Amino acid sequence: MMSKDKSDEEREIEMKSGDEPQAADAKPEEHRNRRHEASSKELVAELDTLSEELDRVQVELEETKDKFLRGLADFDNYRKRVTRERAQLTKCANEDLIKRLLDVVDNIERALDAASESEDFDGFKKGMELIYDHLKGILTKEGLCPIVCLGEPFDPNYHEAVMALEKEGHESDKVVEEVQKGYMLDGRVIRPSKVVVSK
Amino acid sequence: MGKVIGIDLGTTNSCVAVMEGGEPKVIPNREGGRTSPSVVAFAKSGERLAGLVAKRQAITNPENTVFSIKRFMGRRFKEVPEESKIVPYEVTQASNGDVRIAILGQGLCPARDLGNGAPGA
Repeated sequence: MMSKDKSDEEREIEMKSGDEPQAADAKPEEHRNRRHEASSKELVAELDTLSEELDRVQVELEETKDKFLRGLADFDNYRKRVTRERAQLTKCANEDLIKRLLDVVDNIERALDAASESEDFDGFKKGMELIYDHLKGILTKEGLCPIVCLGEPFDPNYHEAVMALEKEGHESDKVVEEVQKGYMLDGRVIRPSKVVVSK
Repeated sequence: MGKVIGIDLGTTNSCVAVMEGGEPKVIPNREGGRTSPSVVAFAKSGERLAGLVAKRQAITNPENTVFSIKRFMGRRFKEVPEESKIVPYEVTQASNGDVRIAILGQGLCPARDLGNGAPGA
């Protein structure tokens, strides 16, 4: 911007000197030389400032680059740590659940042992019912809940159609048979009910 | 910088990933799956279903459930006589000879209308 103004000024001077009669041509010549000297001094000064600025900017760039690379490395380490921790957390969570399921395993083993010594089917059945309730209780505590579907309108968000049947006395698109129970865990479908749907 | 997203649109399953810190990260679907079925369905109510949900209702609504659409993308009707016979949805022809899928009275274009629904489920 500065240098552009300068050259405009110079051009103006040159134009003026061209208009003047030849008689007084020594004066503008001198004038122009002085002008040139002054402007080259200014240019040198400007060059100095610019190269200083370039140095400064280069240092700044190096610093920023360094910061960026460090940040990137930090992030990478963070990600690795989170992945490791999450894997560990999953394992711990499994451990907790497995411990509680071991009670169920113990009880089934006891029931089987008892069944090999006695023929008391009613007693065995009652035992099994107790174990089943225990297991269901553990799973319910974990947030598991069965999907109730029989007679409901078919909803693919919760049900998976395995067959479509023409059934008399049934409205269309209703669940008429449950082939396999579906379950939700904490409000999320982990297994949809497999159902037969009326046409 | 804008987010970079990558879509693997497969004939049977699709997968979507987003660039995160220089590495791709797969976006799981609502049920936690890393891939979703490449299925789009139009329920009788007019609702549009995609992915797992669309696949689960396929048996009750075969004419309006579109799967394996990739094999029709960018094809002309005359090029796909075999494929047209094995799918339960109706494959028709546009005035320019391209494949169209007839759903609820509309002729849908495989790439434009059906290619974008699957990963969202």
